[in-house]
Amino acid sequence: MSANKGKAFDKSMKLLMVGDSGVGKSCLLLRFVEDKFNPSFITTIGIDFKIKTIDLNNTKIKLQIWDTAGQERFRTITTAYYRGAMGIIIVYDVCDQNSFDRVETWYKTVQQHAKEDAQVIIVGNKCDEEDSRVVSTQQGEQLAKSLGVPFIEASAKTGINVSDVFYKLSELILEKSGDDFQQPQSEGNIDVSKGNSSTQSSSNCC
Amino acid sequence: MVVLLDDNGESIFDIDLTSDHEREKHINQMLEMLDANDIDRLRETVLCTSDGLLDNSVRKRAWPLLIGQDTLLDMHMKESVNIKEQDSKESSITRLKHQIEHKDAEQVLKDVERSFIYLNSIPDQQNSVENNLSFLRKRLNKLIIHVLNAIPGINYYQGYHDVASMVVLTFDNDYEAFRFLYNLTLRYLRDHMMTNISPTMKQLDLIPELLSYNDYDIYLILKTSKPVYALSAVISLFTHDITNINDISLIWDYIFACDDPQLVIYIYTALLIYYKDDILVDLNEMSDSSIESSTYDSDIVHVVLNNFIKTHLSENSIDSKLEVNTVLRLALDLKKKIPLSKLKSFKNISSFSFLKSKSTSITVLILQIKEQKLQDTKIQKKRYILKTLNNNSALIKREIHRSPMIIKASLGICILGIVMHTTLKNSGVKLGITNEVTRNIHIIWNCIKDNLR
Repeated sequence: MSANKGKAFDKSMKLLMVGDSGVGKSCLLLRFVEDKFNPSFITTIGIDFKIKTIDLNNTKIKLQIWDTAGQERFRTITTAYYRGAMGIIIVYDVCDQNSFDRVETWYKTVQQHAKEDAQVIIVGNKCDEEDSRVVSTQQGEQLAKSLGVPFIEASAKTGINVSDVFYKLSELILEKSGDDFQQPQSEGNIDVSKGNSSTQSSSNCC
Repeated sequence: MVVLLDDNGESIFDIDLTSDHEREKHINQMLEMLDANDIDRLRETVLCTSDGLLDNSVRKRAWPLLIGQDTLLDMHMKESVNIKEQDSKESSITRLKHQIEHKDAEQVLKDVERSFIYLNSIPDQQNSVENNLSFLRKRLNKLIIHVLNAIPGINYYQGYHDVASMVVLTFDNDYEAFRFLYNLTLRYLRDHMMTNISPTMKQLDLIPELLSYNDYDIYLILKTSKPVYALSAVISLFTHDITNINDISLIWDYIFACDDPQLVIYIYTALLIYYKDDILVDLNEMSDSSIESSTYDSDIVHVVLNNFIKTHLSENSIDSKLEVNTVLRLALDLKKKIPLSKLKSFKNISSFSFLKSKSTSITVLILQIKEQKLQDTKIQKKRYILKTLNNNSALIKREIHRSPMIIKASLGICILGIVMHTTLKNSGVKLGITNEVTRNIHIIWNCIKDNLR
C-alpha cells in the first residue's frame, strides 16, 4: 500500500476502470502502478483501487484508480462508484469480439451513472497478441470517434502505451476541469499549463 | 508444537501433534470415527483441537459427512439430476457431459483460466500429472458447469470458481468432487446465486452490526464504508482472500464441523477484530492527513478492508496456522455470545436463506428464487410508479392550467376526496409510495388553487 503522508502531491483525481470480465483491467492497473505483469492474474470481485502519483505539466497528481469486477452480477455495486470518478477508462480485449461489441453498452452505463463532465477513454488491451487479434485498430478508432472519445491500444503484458492511457486521461481532466476539482488543502494556485493534446487523437500500438 | 494460551496462560488445546507418531495416531482416531459413522464425535474433535482434520485423506471422507451429504444425496439426485447410485462413478460424469453448456459457461471459462495461481501447496497425494495446471483447470471447468446444470435456477458468480478450486484439489475423484460441491452449493452458497446479489449484500450488513456489539471503536471507524469489502471473502468461503491451502482447509474444517453457514460471518468479523491494530496502521498510512484521526475517508476504509486478509495473514505457514486458530476460537466465542438472530439486519434476510433454513431441498431453493424475483419485481414496480408519478404530476400541472374553471373546480373536489381517503386509510406516511402520491396530489391541488384564484 502506498503511503501518501505529508501531501506529496498537488492535486488528486479519481479514475475508474470498467469493461468486460477478463479484458485485463487489473493487469493494466498493475502494470501502470507497479510495473508488473502476471499472465493469469486473479479475478477482481467487487471493487478495489490502487494509488499512483504522477507528474503532469509540473503538477504532482495523485491518481486513485478504481478497478472493478467485470461480471454483470457485480454491476449494482460498481455503478455506485461512477459518480465519484473524474475519468473513466473503458477497456476491451482486441482478441475478444464480444468485449469490443459491449463497449457501447459500457459507454451508455457510464453516461447514465457518471458525472456529466467525466472524461472517458477507450482502451483496446492485449495489442501485442497479433495472432489472436480479432478487432482491428481501425475498428477501435472508428468506435471511439463515433462516441467522441479518445482511443489507445495498449498491452499490459509488454507495457506498451499503458502509461499513456492514464497520462492522457489525466491530461484531459486537467484540460476540461482546470482547477475546479479537489485540491489538497492550502495549496496555492497552480498554473496548470493547458497541454496541446487533442481529445480526439488516437494512437496505434503495435 | 503450536500452543495457544488463554487469558490465564493455560493451553487451550490438549493434544500434542508435534511428532509424526502423534499425528498419525490422531488421523487414525478420526478415520475410526468415520468408520463408525460417529460424526458427532468427529465434530467435537475438530472443534476442540487446533489442527482440524489434519490431512486430505480424512477431509475427503469427513467433509461430505460433516455437511450432511449422506442423508441428502439420494433425495437430491432423484429430485434434480439423472444420476443413479448404481452408475459407476466415472460413467456418471460421462452422462453429464452432454450438459456442458450453460448460460454462464463463458464467464466460468474466463475465471477457470485464472485459477490455481495462488494456491501455494498442492495436496501431497497428487502426482505430477495431476498437478499439471491445464489438467486441474479442465477438471475445474467441468465440475462447475456440471453443478450449475444440476441445480435449477442458480447463477454463477465470480468467487464460486475459487470455492470449486478447493474442491478439485481436495477430491481427486471427479464424481466425489461433484457430489461435494453440489451439496456445498445448496447448503452454504445458494443465497449468493440468486438473480442478483441483494441477498448477499443483506448478509454482509450483518458484519458491521455484529462488530458494533464487540468492538464499538473499530465499528465507528469502519461504518463509513459499506461492507462491500467483505464480499470476496464471504462469497468465496475465504478462498479468494487466503492463499495458503492449509489455512483454507482448517477454516473449512471448522465451518463444516460447526455445520453452520453462519460461522462464515463470525469468522470474517473475528478477522476484523484480530487484525484491528494492523487495519488502523494501514488506515493511517493510506490517509492523506498526517494527523492521526478517528475518521477516515470511506474509500480508504474500503480499500484497506478489501485487502487486509491478503496483506496481514502471515505467509509463514506456522505463523498463519497460529493466527487462523486464534481467529477461529474468537469466531466461536462470538457465535456463543451474540446469536445472529439478535441483530436488526438479520430480519432483512429471507427465511429461505441458508443462514436461517438448513433445508437443502430443491423445492425450497425454487421457492427462494421465486421470492427473490417477486421482491425484485416489487422494487422495479415501485421505482416505475415513482418515476411515472413525477412525470405525470408535471404533465397534469400543465393541463390544469389550460382547462376551464368548472373542470378545475370538480377536479379539485375529486382530488381532495382522494387525499382525505388516503390520509385516513394509511395515515399518509405508511409507504414511500403513499408519501409520493400525497406529495403529488398536493402539488396538483396547489396548482388548482392558484388557477381558481
